[in-house]
Amino acid sequence: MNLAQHTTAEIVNETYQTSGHPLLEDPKMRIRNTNVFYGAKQAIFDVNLDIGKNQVISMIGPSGCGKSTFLRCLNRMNDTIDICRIEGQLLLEEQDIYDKKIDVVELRARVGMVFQKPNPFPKSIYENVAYGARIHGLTDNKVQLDELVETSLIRCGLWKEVKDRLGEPATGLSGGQQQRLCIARAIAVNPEVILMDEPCSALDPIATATVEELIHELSENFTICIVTHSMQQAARVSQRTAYFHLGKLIEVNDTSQVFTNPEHQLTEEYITGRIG
Amino acid sequence: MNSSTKTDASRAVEALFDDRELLALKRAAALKRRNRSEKRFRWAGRLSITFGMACVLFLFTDIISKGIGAFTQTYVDVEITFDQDQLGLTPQSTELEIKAASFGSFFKKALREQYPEVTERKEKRQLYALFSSDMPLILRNMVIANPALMGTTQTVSMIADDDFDTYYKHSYGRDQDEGDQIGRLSDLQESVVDSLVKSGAVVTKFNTILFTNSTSSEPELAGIKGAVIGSILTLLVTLALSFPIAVATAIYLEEFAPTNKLTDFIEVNINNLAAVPSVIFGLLGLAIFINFFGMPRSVPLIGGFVLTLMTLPTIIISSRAAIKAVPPSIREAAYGMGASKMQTVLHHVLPLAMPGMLTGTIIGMAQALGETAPLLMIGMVAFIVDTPTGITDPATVLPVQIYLWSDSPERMFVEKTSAAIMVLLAFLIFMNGFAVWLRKRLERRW
Ligand SMILES: Nc1ncnc2c1ncn2[C@@H]1O[C@H](COP(=O)(O)OP(=O)(O)O)[C@@H](O)[C@H]1O
Ligand SMILES: [Mg+2]
Repeated sequence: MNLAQHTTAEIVNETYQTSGHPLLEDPKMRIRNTNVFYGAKQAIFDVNLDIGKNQVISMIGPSGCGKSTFLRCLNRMNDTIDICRIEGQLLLEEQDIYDKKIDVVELRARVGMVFQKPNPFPKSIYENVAYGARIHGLTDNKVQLDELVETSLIRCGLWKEVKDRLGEPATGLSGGQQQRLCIARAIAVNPEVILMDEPCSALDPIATATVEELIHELSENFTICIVTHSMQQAARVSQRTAYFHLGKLIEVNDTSQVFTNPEHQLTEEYITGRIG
Repeated sequence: MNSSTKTDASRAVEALFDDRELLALKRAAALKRRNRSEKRFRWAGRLSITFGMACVLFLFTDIISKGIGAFTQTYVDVEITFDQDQLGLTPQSTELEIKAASFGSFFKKALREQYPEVTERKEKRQLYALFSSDMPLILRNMVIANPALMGTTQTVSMIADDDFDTYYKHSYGRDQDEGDQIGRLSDLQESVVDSLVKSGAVVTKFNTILFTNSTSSEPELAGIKGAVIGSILTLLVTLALSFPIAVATAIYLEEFAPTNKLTDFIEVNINNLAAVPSVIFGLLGLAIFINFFGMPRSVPLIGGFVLTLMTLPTIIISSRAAIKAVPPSIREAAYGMGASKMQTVLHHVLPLAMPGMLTGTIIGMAQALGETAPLLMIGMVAFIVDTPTGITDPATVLPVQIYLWSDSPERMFVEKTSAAIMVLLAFLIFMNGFAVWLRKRLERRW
């Protein structure tokens, strides 16, 4: 194991250049020459990647390789970590999201996020879904807000289960329901991009299947970036797959190709289970 | 252990792997030791709880047994004829005329008529002294309220003097302690009391005076109303200042302040402040508010300022702990939705931290309620007979009243001291109970 790590580190250093097709025409987001540091420690090395419109891209790689760090750059969630520093250019529809003129509030309304552990607010189910619309001033009256809440819950397949208990605490729902509620909360403000950081890792297989189906449906209207440690999940839900290793983006390709015919030696070692 | 050689050690380890029975023996011995030590620990715990409970029980029985007497007061039913000639009043007299009439000598004459055998000057004085010195005033107020009383004969419930009360309670009442000094009545006074008791004129009633009067130099007329209102006014000032300041400080330090040397320094000093003896805050209040700003002494406003200084650290520390306890995932969720820092704090952090903050505040208030030393420094220790009506009226507070009464030699003041302590404890228990209820209620919502 130690030996393997040593050699892979060497491979990365000698040959670092992302394999496959990281760049696209007319993407939703462009990430260029991006480095991320936690204090003096560098967590992301010179990543170049395009994220396609209304596509699902999954990010895989051994734990600690920087998937979450990278994902959190895309809606500037790393701003909340004092020691975190980001270099490079990150564009959303050709607009630099780290530009001084950009308001993170506005950015996060356009790039929503779903977290690893379901984290509904300790308020009612209704309030959870309505929250984004409230703070961004999206609806003009209660009727519109009710409609928005209903639509969002329907799109997440949660409406039937909760329509009679909208006033009850969201924390009383099951884990899978909570995670779908978090997705409903995120899509209620109609973002352009949804970031998901291992959204199913705290769920049982049945809830996972439901959420995966939901992701698949949502990809018609949203651009989705999903971090996952499950290669089967990546294969099931995404069109493109990016493989990260020790903070470096090793390979980006169509999902089917990554899992059947990986270009890079490290990718192959990872998907065949030799790096974990 | 150290002396055993390497070969010894390896032999012992070998035995462990070879001999399962030896292993079982060793495990059994270890288990026995563990059970014994757990049992010892349980007993130590039980012992300390018993000791603590015994102390509390002792304190409560002592205070209650001393103070229970103060909740009843001795009255004497006396027939009084409101003599028109002597008072120079008729049922048609105006209030001004009634006020001018000499009820003092009227009262004395009425008493003399009841006891014609008392003739000597000294004895007469002893007779008058059996009743509260407020009685003429009370009779006058009766007539003012109802002038038609003039010319009639009424049974008036007269407040017994404290020495009378003490003698009666101890000679006839619940706790007859023979031989113990039972007040300071003369032989004549005792015989008068005894005959009154025989005639059935002496009754004890619930002592409303304790709650409707402020302090007085006459023990039977002294009550805690002024001190209770002083305490409430002082606490209101304290609450109105310390809660918003402390919560704002806690939120700023936890959510907004950058972590640097300055905020570290502030944090250390807030923690230090919590350990400063309260009397120092009194001296500070004296120097700043009274001597420098020239604010009045003895008023609840300044008392509130001083107690605010004292309770701030307590509330800040508990509020910060409450904010820290809010799970970071909630903040992340809010940020992820595009909430600003202020919105995250107001919508999510504050509601979740509020039960903890309120608990800390009530505990701080309970501390402030029991505080004496800093208030002595700013002059809230004066003898104030008037009930305060605002935060700038001279006032005293319950614990200071207790301190003042505990200094008085009269037996009745000893009783009233304990009674005032009981009232203070009741307030404290109520406040703590309220804190528990509030926390339960706010937490149960989710
Ligand atoms: N808040 C943080 N402070 C310091 N280092 C961090 C922080 N978060 C992550 N890291 C470091 O950055 C690297 C990448 O972490 P992460 O992005 O969480 O990996 P992944 O999600 O792929 O498991 C790890 O080495 C981790 O130790
Ligand atoms: Mg991660």
